Amino acid sequence: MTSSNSPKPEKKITKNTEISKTQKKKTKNAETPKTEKKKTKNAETPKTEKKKTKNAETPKTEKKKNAEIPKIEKKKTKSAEIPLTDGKTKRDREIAKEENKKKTKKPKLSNGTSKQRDEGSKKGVAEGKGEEGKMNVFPMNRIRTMIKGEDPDMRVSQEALLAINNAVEKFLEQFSQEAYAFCVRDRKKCLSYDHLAHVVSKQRRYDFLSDFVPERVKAEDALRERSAAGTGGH
Amino acid sequence: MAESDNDSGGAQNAGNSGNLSELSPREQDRFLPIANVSRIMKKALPANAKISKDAKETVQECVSEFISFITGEASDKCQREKRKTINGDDLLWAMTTLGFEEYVEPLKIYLQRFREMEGEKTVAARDSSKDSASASSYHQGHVYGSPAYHHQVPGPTYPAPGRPR
Repeated sequence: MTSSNSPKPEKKITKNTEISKTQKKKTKNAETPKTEKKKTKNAETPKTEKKKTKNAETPKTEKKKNAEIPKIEKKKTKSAEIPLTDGKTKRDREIAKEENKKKTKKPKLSNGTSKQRDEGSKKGVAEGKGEEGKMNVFPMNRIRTMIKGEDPDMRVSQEALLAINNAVEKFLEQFSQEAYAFCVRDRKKCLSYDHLAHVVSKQRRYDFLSDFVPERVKAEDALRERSAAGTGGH
Repeated sequence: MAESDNDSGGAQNAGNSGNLSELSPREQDRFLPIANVSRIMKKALPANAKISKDAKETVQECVSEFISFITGEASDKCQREKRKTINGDDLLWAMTTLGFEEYVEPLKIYLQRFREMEGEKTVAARDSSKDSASASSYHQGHVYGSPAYHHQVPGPTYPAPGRPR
């Protein structure tokens, strides 16, 4: 609670950004699901959002089910990426080189526990699917779709997609390493949600994730806060 | 709760017009593939580190929010300047504004190489001769090699923790 008060300036910036986004979308009469998310954020207090997160444990189960479907889309993504690669023979060769290097890494994973072996096999599958997209870690069409969802009228240049692709990779590496530092401190074997939530709560640069990754609170504490705040949210 | 909101939003989009329904994001399209996310996370951590499925899914959502966060800021800038296309520089500016300035310098190098390659492609396209085309593509391969090497030098990795006991 106290710590959340200190980064007021950044939150204000974020809120202003969200408000302006909402206004634009209203003007265009094109409301996307994300707009509704943001409206919800603006309307409710952080406490209510925390409570919702607990209710959202069920949606996570649904997400797991949904996770099976993307495999089909990955195949589609492949066909979409092929044309991009057709004209670049040299890239294919370099991609092959990278694959060779990564193959040497696989045995290390297989030396671990059975779980790690399974992960190793999954890795192999993922690498196979991503063969043509090695230079860009994530499928470009997916990123373009996500950006279009943000603002359908805005166009995105190819170099912008490359910049996002690269930035996301850096973000992922940094975020994972910072979370892992807490994992080590707790003497845990497995990186888990709590470590991610701790990173988000400790660093101001990750304030934009605080709605998505709040630290978990006991139900009785949440109820107390709710009664103290009076009527909350919906 | 959040997902039900998204579903109703999607329905509204579908009702508006055919074009919008094409643009309306499906459930799976809202996130980057979890396999790619997971692979990058593992690359950044020690070999014996384990990542829970819950953490992977959470990071998957965080990445989507990161893209929206940066892109939203860049989009606002383009609107103020009456431009219709977001380009690389807009995103670099947005990252600086939003607290990710250390990403900017490596990305500038990356984009510069991309632009150089674009220039070479143009030259290759103009020249119809097969020999010169193959020659320039060979050179192109050399140029492209260095960013790959750059990629393979990630940030500092944490040392593997001692055996837990």
